[in-house]
Amino acid sequence: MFTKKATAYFALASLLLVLALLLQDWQLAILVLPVASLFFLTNALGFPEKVEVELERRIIPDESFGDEDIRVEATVRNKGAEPLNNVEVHELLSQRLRPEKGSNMAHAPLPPGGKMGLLLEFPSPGRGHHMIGPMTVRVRDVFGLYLVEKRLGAEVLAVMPRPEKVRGTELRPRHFGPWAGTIPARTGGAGSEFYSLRTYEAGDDLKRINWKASARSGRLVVNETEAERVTDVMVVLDTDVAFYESSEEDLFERSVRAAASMASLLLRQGNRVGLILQGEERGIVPPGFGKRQERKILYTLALAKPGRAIISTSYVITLLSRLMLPARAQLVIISPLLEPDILEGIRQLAIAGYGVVVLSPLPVEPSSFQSGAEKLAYKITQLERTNILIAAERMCTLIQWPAGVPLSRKLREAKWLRPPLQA
Amino acid sequence: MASAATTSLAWGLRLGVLLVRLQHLFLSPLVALAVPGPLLLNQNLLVMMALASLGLVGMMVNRQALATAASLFLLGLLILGKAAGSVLKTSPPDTAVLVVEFTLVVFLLEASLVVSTFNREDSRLRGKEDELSSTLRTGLHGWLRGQLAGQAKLGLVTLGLSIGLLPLAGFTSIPSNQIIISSTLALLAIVVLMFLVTHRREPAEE
Repeated sequence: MFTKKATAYFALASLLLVLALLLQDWQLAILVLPVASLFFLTNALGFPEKVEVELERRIIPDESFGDEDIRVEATVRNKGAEPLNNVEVHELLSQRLRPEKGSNMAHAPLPPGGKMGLLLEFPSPGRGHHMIGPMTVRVRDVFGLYLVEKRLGAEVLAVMPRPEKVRGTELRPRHFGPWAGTIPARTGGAGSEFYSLRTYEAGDDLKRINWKASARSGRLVVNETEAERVTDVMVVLDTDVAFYESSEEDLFERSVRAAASMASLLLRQGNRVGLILQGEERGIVPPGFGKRQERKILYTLALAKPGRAIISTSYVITLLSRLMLPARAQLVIISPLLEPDILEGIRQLAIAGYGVVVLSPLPVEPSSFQSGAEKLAYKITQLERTNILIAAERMCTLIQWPAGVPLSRKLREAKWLRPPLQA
Repeated sequence: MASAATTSLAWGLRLGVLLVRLQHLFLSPLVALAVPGPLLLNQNLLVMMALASLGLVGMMVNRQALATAASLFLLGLLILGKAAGSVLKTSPPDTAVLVVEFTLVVFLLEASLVVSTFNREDSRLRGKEDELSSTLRTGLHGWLRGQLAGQAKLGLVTLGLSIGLLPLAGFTSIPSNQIIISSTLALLAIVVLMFLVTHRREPAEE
């Protein structure tokens, strides 16, 4: 296609002709000759009729935990038989991505069959989904009168939260899956903890005979262990909050890391785990098993950012839990508990028999306040939060997580409650 | 600032870039002093100096808009000067000289765009001594060399073709008393131009 510049030169030539006609000055008309020659030479010799280029891009790595540099390698290959003298490659990057090595724009000539690379490297940006691209390749003649443009779509670079190694969860749901896991199932079966005594049956392992009990009762009695099973868990990250301070941003990041760590731990224990991301950015990962599921959850968590949700958190968690989890399964809600609205959702879920654990990272008190009013506002917010905590404690297992304390320690110290059969 | 970009270039290329950078210094007198005085209120010298400074500053501080504006002013001045000369019935310049001046202004304008782009891209890579940046820098130098050489080659051929066609154009000089023939010729020229622009090409999808 021809460019605006070609149109401008055409207009200039037409203007010269009109002027020449009006002024009856043939010298002015003759100035059209260089423009016409330029068009003729460029069109006939300076630019191939067909431009065939192949575009490729590699992002290394395309998923990161934020502790390594990201490298983008884009390649443009001339698949035509004629040289391309003026090739421009531009990779569009979001503002947070600033190349430390290389550049996101390159100009180079391309011989037939040759290739050129656009290489750049930048330090890993913060957690999030970052768009790389689209990549635009513009092939022009040396004067820029004709242009062929090709595009390669954008790709997402996901910088995910790194899950921490945590221990100490003792989930007590009423629903169990059929597979062996780590959750005591309140029934006899394969496990490590003593559960009850029962009469020996043919085929029982002789090592399990309780000789003292057998001597007392006059018949063979065996020790029975408590079955340990898996369950279905939905991790809910409540991002439905508006933060303004940098300390609050840190609180939010702790919530995201906690969600990643909990999901990772529960999946390692063999449970079926899903995720609900509730806030300005919403995301749902239906429950599933394994490493791939962990990646899906971390990928979705990379999206999390604080902001007000359009639909109430309470409504979303009750609706989605009922839709995606079996009855009486487990929910792990990670929330700063700053909004009383969430209590209604917890209550509904507890009534329905779901096991609910609320993990609430504690906000750090600001070192100074700009005004007395701000200090008062902070105190009121904390009092309201205390009220929410008291109310939540009656319905679920509540774990408060102060900054600087390992999550595993708080999980070990928590009082894990089994939901009553009828709340 | 802008000259730092060219220190790593070959001597021939550096000379070419320097010529492009200083183009307004020799184009301004060539164009502005040939324009009839009344068109510029007899301030030809002042206009010449203003255009030369504007273009020079634009090229030196790598402000493409300034340099392009100076070149477009020169182009406009060349055409208006010729038109004014025609109206004021001053002695016409030599046609070949006029064609050379016009071609020079147009081609050096295009070359300045290339040099500006080179400076802009090189400044992105300035201070980066890693392997990735070096590879891109080598490609950029190759591109500059290819662009300037290609433009110079096409420019010279265009000039040769235009001057070669001058005698042919002389036959078609517009007769003052036959406006219909003149208009037809002008229309024909526009159609030919249109063909040259659009042959094998599609309009831009911008």
